[in-house]
Amino acid sequence: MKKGYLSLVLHAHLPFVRHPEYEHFLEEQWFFEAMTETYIPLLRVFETLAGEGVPFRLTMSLTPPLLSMMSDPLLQERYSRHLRRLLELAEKEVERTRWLPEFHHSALMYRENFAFARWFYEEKYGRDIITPFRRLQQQGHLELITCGATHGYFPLMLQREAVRAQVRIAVEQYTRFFGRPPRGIWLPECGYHPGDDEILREYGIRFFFTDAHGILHASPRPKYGVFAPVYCPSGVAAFGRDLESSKQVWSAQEGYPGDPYYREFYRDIGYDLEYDYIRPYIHPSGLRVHTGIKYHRITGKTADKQPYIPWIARERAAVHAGNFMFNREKQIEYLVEIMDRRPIVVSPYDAELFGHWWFEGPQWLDFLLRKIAYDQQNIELISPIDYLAIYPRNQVSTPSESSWGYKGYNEVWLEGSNDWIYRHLHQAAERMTELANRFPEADGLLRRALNQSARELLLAQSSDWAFIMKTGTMVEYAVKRTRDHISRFLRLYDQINANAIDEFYLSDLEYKDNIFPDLDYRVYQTTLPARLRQAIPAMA
Amino acid sequence: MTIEDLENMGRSELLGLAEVQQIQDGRGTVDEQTVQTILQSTTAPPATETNPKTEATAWIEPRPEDPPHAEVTVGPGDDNELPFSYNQTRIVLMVRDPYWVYTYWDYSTDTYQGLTSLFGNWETVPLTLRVYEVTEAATKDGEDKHLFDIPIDGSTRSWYIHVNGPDRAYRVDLGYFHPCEGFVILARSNVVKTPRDSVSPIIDGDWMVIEEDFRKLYRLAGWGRPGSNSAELVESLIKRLEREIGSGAVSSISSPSFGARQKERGFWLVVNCELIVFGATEPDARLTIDGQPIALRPDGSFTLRMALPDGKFRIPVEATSAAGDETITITPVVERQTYHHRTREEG
Repeated sequence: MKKGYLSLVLHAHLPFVRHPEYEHFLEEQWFFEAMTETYIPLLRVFETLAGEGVPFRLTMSLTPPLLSMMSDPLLQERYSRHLRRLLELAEKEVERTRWLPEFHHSALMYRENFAFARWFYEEKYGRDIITPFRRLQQQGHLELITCGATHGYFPLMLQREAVRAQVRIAVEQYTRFFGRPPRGIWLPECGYHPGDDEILREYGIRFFFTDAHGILHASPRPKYGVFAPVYCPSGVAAFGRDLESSKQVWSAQEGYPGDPYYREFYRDIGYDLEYDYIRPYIHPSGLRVHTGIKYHRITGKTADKQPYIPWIARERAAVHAGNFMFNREKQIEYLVEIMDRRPIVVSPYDAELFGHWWFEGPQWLDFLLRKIAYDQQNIELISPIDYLAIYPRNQVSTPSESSWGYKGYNEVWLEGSNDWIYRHLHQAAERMTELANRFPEADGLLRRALNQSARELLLAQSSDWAFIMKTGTMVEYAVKRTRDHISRFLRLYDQINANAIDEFYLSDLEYKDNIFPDLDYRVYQTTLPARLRQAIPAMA
Repeated sequence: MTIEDLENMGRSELLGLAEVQQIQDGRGTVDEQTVQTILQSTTAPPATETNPKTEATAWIEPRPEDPPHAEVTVGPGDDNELPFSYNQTRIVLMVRDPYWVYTYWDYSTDTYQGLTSLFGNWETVPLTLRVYEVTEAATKDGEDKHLFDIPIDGSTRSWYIHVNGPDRAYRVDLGYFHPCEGFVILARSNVVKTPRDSVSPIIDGDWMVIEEDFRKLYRLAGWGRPGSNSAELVESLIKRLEREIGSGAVSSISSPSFGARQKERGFWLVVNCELIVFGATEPDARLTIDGQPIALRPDGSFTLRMALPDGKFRIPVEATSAAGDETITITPVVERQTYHHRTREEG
């Protein structure tokens, strides 16, 4: 008999970065690196476990921008080119390090990883990386959930129509890719604003997550703290993040990823090796960038980094997986004494932590899933949706406004560096709703212009831009993206109002900002709440 | 940084700087004290911790031995200047956290011209933000609870307001003091409610919990321990920061991969060797070096470069004709020995 449940949640997201107007674009590397280092290694772990019949179940959000990039032919072609060159570099490195035994085994490891990635991407799935996710969901190993359409930060959106559009477009895209509507959502940045759950319910979403204090500070007081969900007044369930298990993985000091035997992220041959040698594999402008080949381990707080030893790191990952499981067992044993039902511990992480930042993360997950399956009796891995089937009756309570950002509220996305964006974002959202209400049945060029206006607004709303402005690196790009999309929106708005749509300009924007090809601008129409519509049939 | 530099900065620049320097002003105002605090913090010797900003510039600058590369910027793009004003007189209120709200506002040309002619000069208009708490009881009486006023100048268009009231609703009026009519409202904001910052006092009779058990659950959730929440959140932010900015953004290039420079020693020298094996054969031949297949260029030439540590190495290079009937093997034998010698003049 299981004593309690563990729900591991991986949030996979990258902002929509796609620049057909340039042959090489630096920020597109974010997607390529995450593909090679995170998404493909995770799929490799999941498929291997599934193939061996190891029972496991995880929850994973694949955000709409990420799905858009994964399915985009231009980025598929560019990723393919990237992989070819990466493999070529790995081959050269195997030769170069032949008599450097301390680096040679790592070079062989990278060549194997990249060759696998290439085989997996090109041969096995014909560049369609979404199919393996869908298959794992069908097999019951993954519960895939959605997110805001462009990862817009809901609590700082003034217009309900803007939040509704973020949810509705995401649900529609998910349904197209996975053949059924999503049952859960990862609110962008875990940002919850009371009342947003009403919108989630409209689109059939059954559950979402908040940070720990979102549930702990819910009202009325939640009987089980974060170890059971509450139902919002709308009937949508909210699950709270467990900070204890988060810390073990996240924390820079106490967390597993800081182990001295794990791979050092910052020592990359893109920076370390002689310029002429590495020149063909860095940015075509000559700017040194990360290649993904890194030969050192964290070692400690020293600049004198020791060589990476793959098998020792692997041992550490196994030890850390055992430690994580032991702590969850203890945690659940303790909780069972206090609670009159089986607890659920919800542990969400950014997916890109695994593999990209924490190189051994996928191995750790592999060990953890195997150990949970075979080495213990107390914990069962489930998804929140399963918990709701086991315990359909839950306390009704309204979570507190919260996020998983620094200090727990809205400050990361609303502070001196980025607060200037909101007067523009709100203005654009308001105008978009005005347009959608004014043109209930547009067609032809006008319809295209209205759809493109919606795309520009959505792209401007990505929480990533405000976040980057706050963090102080790559700010120029985030500012440019915000300004570009808003100014494009405003220009389209003026052209629509003047009944003078510049088709050449519009086509250029459709070519550049091609996210959500099936988008219908009418998602921005003001709709009355469903119950009000029923009460006043004449207005429906 | 000098006081002149600071005086030349706009308010938002100063606030941004204050943010960077982590000066918790608490009022959203820029006054003499803030300026002094910024001056002290920017003229102080650099902190020993690595600052993300300085690290970020480190990767942008090419290493001295690298040839100059083209500027990787965002490139030419749209004319993307955003409007300074949307020609509307309005005010919007947003929540930052349980204690602070943020407001931005805008003036229409009509408002601007009307007030300028009334007061003779835009700069002398006694513009004011009036902050209200919105409660059910007060709304019933038709009047919200007036908390305080914030005088603002004509060039300011946003403000952080310290309301210090978790789980309460607020509203702000933008207006000015008319010589005869008193406070005149130009625009009224939306109402926002700040988040709760503690456990709800409301308990549901059907979901009762013993106080002691609830405390245990609260502690177990990692929240009740003093300092634990902020520390954890700070760390998670750092991790997320690193993730979000993608690769390459924050890079500590401490040393090249061979022979780390030893800073503690005064004078130093590092020497390394690489070996280049090159040659040519028929373009359709198969070539291996030390058993590993090597790709030929279209003209049949090949190059392989590798590290050369101390020792003696045999490097068999074997070419097989396309038909497979002829094989030639050439084996260079390379030896590297390294001797160290150091002298130092006395005195």
